[in-house]
Amino acid sequence: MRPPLDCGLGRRLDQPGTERTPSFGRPFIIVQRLLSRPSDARMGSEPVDRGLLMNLVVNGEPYPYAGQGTIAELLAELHAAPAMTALMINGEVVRRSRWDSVRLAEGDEVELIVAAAGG
Amino acid sequence: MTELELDVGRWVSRARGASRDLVRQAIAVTDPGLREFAILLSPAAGLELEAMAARAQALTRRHFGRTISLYAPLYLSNYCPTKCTYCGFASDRRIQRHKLTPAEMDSESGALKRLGIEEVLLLTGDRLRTAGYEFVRDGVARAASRFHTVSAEVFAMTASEYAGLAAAGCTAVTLYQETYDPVRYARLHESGPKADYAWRLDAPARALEGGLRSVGLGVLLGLSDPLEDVLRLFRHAVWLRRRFWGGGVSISFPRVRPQSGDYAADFPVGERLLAQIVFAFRIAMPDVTLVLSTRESPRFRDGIAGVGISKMSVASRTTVGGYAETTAPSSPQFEIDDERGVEEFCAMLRASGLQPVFKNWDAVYREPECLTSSAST
Amino acid sequence: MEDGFRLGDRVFRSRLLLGTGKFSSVETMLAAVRASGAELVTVALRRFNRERADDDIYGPLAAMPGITLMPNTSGAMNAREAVRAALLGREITGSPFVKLEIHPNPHHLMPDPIETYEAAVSLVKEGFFVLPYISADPVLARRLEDAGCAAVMPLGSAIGSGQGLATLSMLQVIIRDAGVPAIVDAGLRSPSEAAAVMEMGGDAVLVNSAIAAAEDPELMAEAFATAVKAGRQARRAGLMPRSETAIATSPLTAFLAGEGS
Repeated sequence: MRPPLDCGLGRRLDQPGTERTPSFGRPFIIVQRLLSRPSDARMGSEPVDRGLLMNLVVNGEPYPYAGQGTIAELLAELHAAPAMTALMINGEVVRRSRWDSVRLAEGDEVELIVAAAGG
Repeated sequence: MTELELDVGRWVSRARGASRDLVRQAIAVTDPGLREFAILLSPAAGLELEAMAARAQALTRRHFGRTISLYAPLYLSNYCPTKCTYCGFASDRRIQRHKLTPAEMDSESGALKRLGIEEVLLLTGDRLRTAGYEFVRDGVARAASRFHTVSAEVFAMTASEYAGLAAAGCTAVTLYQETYDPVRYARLHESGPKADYAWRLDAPARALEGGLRSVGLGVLLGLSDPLEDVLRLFRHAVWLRRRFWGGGVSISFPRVRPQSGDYAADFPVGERLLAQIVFAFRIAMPDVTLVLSTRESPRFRDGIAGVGISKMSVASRTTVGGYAETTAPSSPQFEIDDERGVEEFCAMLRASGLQPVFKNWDAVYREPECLTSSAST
Repeated sequence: MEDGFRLGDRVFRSRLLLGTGKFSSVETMLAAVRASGAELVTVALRRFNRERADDDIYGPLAAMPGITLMPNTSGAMNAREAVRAALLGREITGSPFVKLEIHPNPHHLMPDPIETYEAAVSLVKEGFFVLPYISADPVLARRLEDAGCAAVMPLGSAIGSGQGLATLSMLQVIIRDAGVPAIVDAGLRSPSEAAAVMEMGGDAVLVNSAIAAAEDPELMAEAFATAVKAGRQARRAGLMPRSETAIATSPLTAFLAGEGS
């Protein structure tokens, strides 16, 4: 897990109830929760910035994330090979063919699944 | 699902050439199949009838207990457009024809009920405009209001016609292919609706598709080589059971018997071979209902009840109606050999340690429309 | 002529399916898979864990020639979870096959017939080739076949119990009546049991515990492969059937003495 961002006000983002405040002078945009049909991505309604700041839950653990909000970026950050990984967002399986059109949102619960010995 | 495969060439040679050792093994096999069935039809097996009978009796007891289900046939009409050379109703025979009126049907049903009959098999000749699907369906509906179980042995129908019969209260349909040999079939049924071999062959499947609970199969023994016909009948039964896992199959054993001035079988089947065929079916298909009619002699019926055979007709008339005195007279389809009445026949069964069963309790579970008036144990 | 069996749109030559669980190590498991000649191998699902990247089995298995991976929905407690697991499994493996396994009780691990049926119907609609794991229930097997499953997988005995073919008589009925491959799964303890399944007409077997827990899993895998081949060959060669002693009674055919007409 990457270390919590220092927002410059002496508070850690990974603590529950932490207020999120703008950092580095950029406007902080709160994006909507991902709908259950992630392919209905909301594109273009907010300016695409150098990065978004959001709290995700990844594989059951809190995960502060800053980036473009794409699946590819998240997987790369976690060193998970896209070809061998399956993805669920908020309890719904997201097919690989739709990954490009998905943008992660604040509070999203992401599950990364791989094959394991068993069965 | 695989297509119905009726090629039995190599099985016939196996059936003809089996040794007595193979026969003894086949009798004892725990999960018999076509291979055992073929061996049990062999001449060598004909020398092992006692052993076959013993196993047939054991299996009949295991699956059916010591009971015999009883039913009676009721001919609704003997008008027929078709010339089946072997049949008493053939269109070119000058016989007394009749078709039951609704009133006659009611009095016939009443007469049968007074005999204690709960299961009736309705019969007609081949399809006619005046005695076609609607006529049969109406007959079924009438019968279903009086009898616990109604089945029909009539001309081949479409799937939706069969569905109509089922909705009217028909439980089962019997349809003999007569012979599975297409060449001989064509010669025996030269014209009329019954001439279509494939249409008839497919009818039991249509019946089960249409929602009938079970179908009765059979060949008319004597029309063609019995080994070939019976092997094909076996394959047909196996295929239907596989394809319609919820449906039932029963086998009957009608046999051409000499009648004065009538059709003589080209391949006559004697009693020993008939018994052998019954035993072979019981051994190879232990859980299938095997049916014998009153065409056979009292002595034969007495001997084979419970030894393979699990269901029999009783007190039969093969005239149109004939149980009630008020119905107009008509000619019979074939001669009855066992003319015993219900009481006498049941007494014989009991004396042989078999309980006669006139089943009347399933109706309690059925949908209200199908309930008969006698729906109580 | 190849003696393969058809599952979905594919024909498989090997009639030994392998589970990948319970092995002492990934290397041992891979060696066993190789030795078994299996073409269809089941895998489970777990969460991705960066620290455990070395335990990846997908990579090495996918690299083995001739292997088709089949995700297993084991762990799912109901139809919804099983469907989700199947969708995830398909994402990872790209395989249209899924072994549908739903066992809510963690002790006897017996499959839930109702959840399994519901999940099967949904998964068939999603285009999967569904192989449902079930009790040896002949009616349930036909219902699942009617629902479009590519096979049925009746158990020989409870998972891991090593009780062998406790359900033998029911398996015979299922095998006799099935129109899709009947693959006996669970409880097989020895190669001779696998051979017995093939001799009585079973289309294939799935083995896991018996191989994974053996002293020498690679050798045991080979033994099972040999047994499955032998049983199948015996079946095709026309095995002499098992027999019961016939019961002799007093003469039953006296009524045939005079040749009637």
